[in-house]
Amino acid sequence: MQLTSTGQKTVRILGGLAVIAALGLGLRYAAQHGYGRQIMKALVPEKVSGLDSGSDIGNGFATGTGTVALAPLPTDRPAEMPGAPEVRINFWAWNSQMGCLYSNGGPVTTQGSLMEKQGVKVRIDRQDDNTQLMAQLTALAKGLHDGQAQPAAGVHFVGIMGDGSGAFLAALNKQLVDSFGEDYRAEIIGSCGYSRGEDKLMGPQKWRDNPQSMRGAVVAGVLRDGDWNIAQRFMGDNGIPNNPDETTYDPNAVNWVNTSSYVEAAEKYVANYCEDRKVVVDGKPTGETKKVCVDGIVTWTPADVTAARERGGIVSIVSTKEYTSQMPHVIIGIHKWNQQNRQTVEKMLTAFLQGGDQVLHHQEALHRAAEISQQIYNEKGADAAFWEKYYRGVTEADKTGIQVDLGGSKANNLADNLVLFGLAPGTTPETSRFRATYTVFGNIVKQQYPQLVPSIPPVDQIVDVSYLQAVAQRAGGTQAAAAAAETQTYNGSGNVSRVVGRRNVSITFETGSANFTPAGEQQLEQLFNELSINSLTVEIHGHTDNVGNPDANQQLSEDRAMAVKKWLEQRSASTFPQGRIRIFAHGSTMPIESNRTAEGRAANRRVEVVIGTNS
Amino acid sequence: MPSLGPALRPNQWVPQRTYLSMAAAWGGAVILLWLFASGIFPSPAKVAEALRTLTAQQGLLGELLTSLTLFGESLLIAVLISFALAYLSVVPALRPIVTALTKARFLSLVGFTFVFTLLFNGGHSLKLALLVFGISAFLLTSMVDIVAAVPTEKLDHARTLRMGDWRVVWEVVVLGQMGAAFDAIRQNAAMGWMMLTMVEGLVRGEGGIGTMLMDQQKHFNLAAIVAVQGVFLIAGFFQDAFLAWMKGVLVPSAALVTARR
Repeated sequence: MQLTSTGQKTVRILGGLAVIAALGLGLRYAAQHGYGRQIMKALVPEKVSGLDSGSDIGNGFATGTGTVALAPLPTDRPAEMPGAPEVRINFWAWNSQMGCLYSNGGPVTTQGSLMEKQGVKVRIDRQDDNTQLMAQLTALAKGLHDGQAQPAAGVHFVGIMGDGSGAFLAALNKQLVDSFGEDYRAEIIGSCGYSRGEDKLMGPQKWRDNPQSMRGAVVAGVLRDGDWNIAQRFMGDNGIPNNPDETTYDPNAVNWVNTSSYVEAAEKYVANYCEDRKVVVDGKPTGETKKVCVDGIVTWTPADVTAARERGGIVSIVSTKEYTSQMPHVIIGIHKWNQQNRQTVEKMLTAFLQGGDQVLHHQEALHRAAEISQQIYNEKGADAAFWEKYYRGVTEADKTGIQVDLGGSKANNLADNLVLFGLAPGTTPETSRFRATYTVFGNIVKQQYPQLVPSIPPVDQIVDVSYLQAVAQRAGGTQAAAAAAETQTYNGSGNVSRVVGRRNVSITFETGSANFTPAGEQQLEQLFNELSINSLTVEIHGHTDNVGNPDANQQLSEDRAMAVKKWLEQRSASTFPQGRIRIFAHGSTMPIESNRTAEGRAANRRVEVVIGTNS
Repeated sequence: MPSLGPALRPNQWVPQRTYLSMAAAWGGAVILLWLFASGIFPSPAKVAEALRTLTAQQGLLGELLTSLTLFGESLLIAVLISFALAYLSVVPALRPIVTALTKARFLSLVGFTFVFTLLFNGGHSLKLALLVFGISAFLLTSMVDIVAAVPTEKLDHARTLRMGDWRVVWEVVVLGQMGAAFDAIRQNAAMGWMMLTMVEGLVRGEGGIGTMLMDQQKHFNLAAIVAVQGVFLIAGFFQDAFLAWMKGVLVPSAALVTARR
């Protein structure tokens, strides 16, 4: 049969459509029956042999003394909650929020979940971009400002790391307050958990053995972010200068290759990325240019795993396993909505923190939380077992055979929240660990990048603990609720087994006495905040110049070290419990400068602080 | 006052004065809307202040020069590569490979950045390679279409003038389509600006206006973001005007067939 030209065209079009439809149906069938995954499995090995046989390293903490009964596990069927308003939440892919995810049972509140029992309908979505998180909160604030009681746009809460909250809220609240008014500011209402190892500085072993060897290094990572903060704290604890200019290279400081994400940091290390930099010394150009390559990275799971598997050769130098209080996951919402929906906020927090207790105490709950993580994060190549394993933290051999610490997180319960925000018995908001981390890291970014972050809001303006207090009251008061908080014990003797930081701190005393000058009190306040970031053992070494009687100098150095110890312990017995601080007196026996000059003698009258692990 | 009638009907010629009045009216409407808009979008005063700070304290002009240098370098290389390949598509033996290369425009640069990092061991060369790759993929497609759109009668006409095969290519395809080629460069150079921020975010060591924009975005400084975007617009406008001027000077005949100027 002969077809006309139009007929031929029609046949071609129909034939094309039939092929496309067949392809679409075929792909759908393959996806439904898992054929794609099977083919990929055959082509690409899922794991590098030898990497997954690591042992759990734990986080060194007792997870509370209270007994928590295992609640029925949540199902994966969405809860039917007609009429309940939806609370929308955006979280990064981050293991610290295992407890919060568990409480919801899935991306949307499921039947049998702790959230359903509280009568709150929550939707959790992954969002790994801080600007998007800010934009979503802004959209909610705008809806409220436009008169919508329950805005359809934006999200009600986001979760970020506590050490980055200063820079985050400085930027966001400036826009919100300027545009809508003070009531629309963003505020922190609680914490889902902690990073306890997974966020880290990775570099050659020599940096760990001798931190001073890090001078002149080039580290890739997201600047002014949580992992960068870890490196900044480590450098500060060891007196290593930072070169804040990402376009130059200073051989005496640590230099940075700024990446857009923690994953890109690992990629740059794996690809052995190099670039030409103008050489500077103390900020002044030398006229030279040098080709520099990435020596280390600041990153977190799963990118630390990528770096170890794909190239290796770098170990965990320091992480949130050492800086235990640095990175609490903090929940941020809009003040006005929180106030107008107080009950909903309190119920949601209750469920979140009950979820934390379940994950802390029951393997089944952690396992289920990992399944929910897989569902919400939808991270390629990371199944539930992946998230569970790296929540616990493991030590694995990398591609070169070096043992590397990877992962490590901790869920928070109500008691942990009360300690973190200074609401537990024996703690105060003014000396809380959250205030310390917020202040220390807010100041670091402010000092290093004054043009980008000129100031951070006062901590009292951005934390509202009233929701936590209400939850605690319902749980029987802060005394009862705090009984199951994590605690760390110190053996109180001997030197630290692994030094993490060693530096001379400037604390000025009145001449020939162990009394602090007014400036010395301020210096102690700064030291207190810096030591509150970690839970490491602290050694305080007192030194004098060689003026006067050696025995008297010995006694004076001991008195001064003791004065520092007492000041810190009195400031917060919770942060500095018995056995955490040890003092050592050296008199004039260990000068660092010549005692022949006034400047040298002043340098020798010093207090040296050593922090490290205590085995 | 000229009549507004033709300005409201399709495909009408209007005097230059009418056109400029229309443009001024639209510009005024946009500025009024901006001045009286409330909410999160920064006011003109805030944007102006941010622009002043960026210029005086953060070296905006220096960063712009860095970006323009990179962009000019990339555009030049991309034009050379794309034009050479597109003109070679007149040879049937080479056409399949050229056609295949045009499909690169469907690729995302995500993931490729890692491969490029391995291939180009250096910040500047990495940026340059990514930008050239991005621009070339689109420019090549436009140029291949331009070459393919040459009417047969024009080729036949050249042959009747006893021109050799390569002379025909030079006269009809290269010189004859130069006006269209300039338009292709203008369009694709504009798309290249979008990629500039991405590559400058990937290699921040040399700075650049894209790096500056990403820093401001990270810290949610909306006024500064709008100010930098404004600089992007102005730079793009001048680039466009420059290419249009080049076309007018080098291929004046192209204007003869255009309905609107």
